[in-house]
Amino acid sequence: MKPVIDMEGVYKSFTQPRTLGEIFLHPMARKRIQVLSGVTLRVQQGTLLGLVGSNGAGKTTMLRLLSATVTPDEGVVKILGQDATRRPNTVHKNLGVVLDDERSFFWRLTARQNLLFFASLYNLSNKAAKKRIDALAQLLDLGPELDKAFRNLSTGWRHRLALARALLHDPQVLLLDEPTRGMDPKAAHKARALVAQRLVGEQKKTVVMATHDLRTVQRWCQSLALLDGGKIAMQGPVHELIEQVESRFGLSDTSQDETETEE
Amino acid sequence: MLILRKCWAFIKKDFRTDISYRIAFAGQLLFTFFMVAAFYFFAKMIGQSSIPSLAPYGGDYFPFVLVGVAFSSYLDVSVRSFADTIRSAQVLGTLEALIATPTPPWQIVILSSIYSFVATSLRVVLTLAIGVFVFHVQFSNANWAGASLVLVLSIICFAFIGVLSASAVLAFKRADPSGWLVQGLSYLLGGVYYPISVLPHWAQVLAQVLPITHSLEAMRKMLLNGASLEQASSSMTGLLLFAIVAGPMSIASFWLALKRVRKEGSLGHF
Repeated sequence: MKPVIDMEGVYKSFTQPRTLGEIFLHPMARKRIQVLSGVTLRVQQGTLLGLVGSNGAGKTTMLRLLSATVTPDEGVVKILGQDATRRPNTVHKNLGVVLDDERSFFWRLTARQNLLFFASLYNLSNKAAKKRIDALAQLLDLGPELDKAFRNLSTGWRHRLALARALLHDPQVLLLDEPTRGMDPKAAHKARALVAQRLVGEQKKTVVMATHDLRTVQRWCQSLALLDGGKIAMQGPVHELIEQVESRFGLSDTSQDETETEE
Repeated sequence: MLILRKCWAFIKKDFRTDISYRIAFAGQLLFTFFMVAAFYFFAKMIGQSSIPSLAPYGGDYFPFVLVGVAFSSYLDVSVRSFADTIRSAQVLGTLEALIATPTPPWQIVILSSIYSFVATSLRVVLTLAIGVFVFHVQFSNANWAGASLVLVLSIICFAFIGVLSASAVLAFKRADPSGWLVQGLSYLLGGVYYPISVLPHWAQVLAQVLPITHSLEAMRKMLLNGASLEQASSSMTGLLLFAIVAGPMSIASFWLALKRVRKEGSLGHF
């Protein structure tokens, strides 16, 4: 079976700021930092993959490459068989993204007005958008917050809204960067359950979720990929790898209290 | 239909944002009145003497400058709005979220600027209306159909400058100096406040490269003298030539800028 997400030999580096001395001595040179070095990752349909790694491991860069907002230096990224570098707009039709940037809405509009605006960019008709927003409001318990100005929403509500936006066009593939950050334990639990049980379990969507939280991965994901040193150090079923990941890399569980509360 | 729906969504979004700053919104309307009134009194001061360079435009300074000021605002909005759109989306953090939708980036940039053009058109109408109803300017001979054609062609030319400027902002983040340069030169040499015939010969030659020179020349001939398209054909040709040269350049520059930021991963940077 063809993978839904297919990254093959992906390299990515970024330019780094230089000191005045470096600029003076080598005005035309560029200082680069290698973030990903030959990453290969395949994810099958109906999988919830937990992408873990320490800070700066390249998780967000990987999600940006998959969302076609960044292009690789080398290698190929394919989503549902479409080359993300060559056909980003086609890829975006079946892709929902929750970015790590909570500012990515229009602050003077209400949450509902924001969702209606983005729905038009996802090619939804006004009628379909309203219906979809009502359904998502129920699903994510957006309730009265939907008619509040975005600037008055708390961080947790903003992340809930970001998840609602990612689901507006009912995409086949979801990329989530710390999607429950800032949510209260109940909302975070509900959001994770929605993703794992309904979207992946029932609707067979494919989800990549970048997180530091190993307990979330252990509880909700089928497989995990560990990024280390710009490479995928491990990839496979969670139950086979979770102990190795914990012991080998000593990744800290940053939301232990939260997880314990929800359980 | 899809593009129209998106266009409407952008207009609604920007209008809602605009009116949420009520004092600034009302201030813009008041400013338009003050500006027109200031030019009226300035024209009244110099109106006693006969000015030969104004003869081709009816000899009266106030209608001359009213048309210049009103329609040069399209240049301002064209040069600034595309770049401002990119810049504010970078700073607000919405650029990456917009680019992550299936709507192509070129559509996002153009649609993001539509409201500015609509608002500018309303301001132009208001400027002319204040001139007509408060200060009794006559447009009784005006060729409105011809002027509309000039306006469309002018906006296309100005928009190409705007897209060039937006490309620079997309790639280099800070405000683009070429946009300011074109804008500055246009006000200096393009005949907004005075006829270009008062400029030195070399400056008059340089002025022919600027689209605003041709735009205002054709607009004044049509609105103040009721000239036909044929009578304004040299200005129309100037605008067309500019569009033919600047069009592909602006599209190529935007494509290259977008490729660069995707490569550098700096869509969300500012």
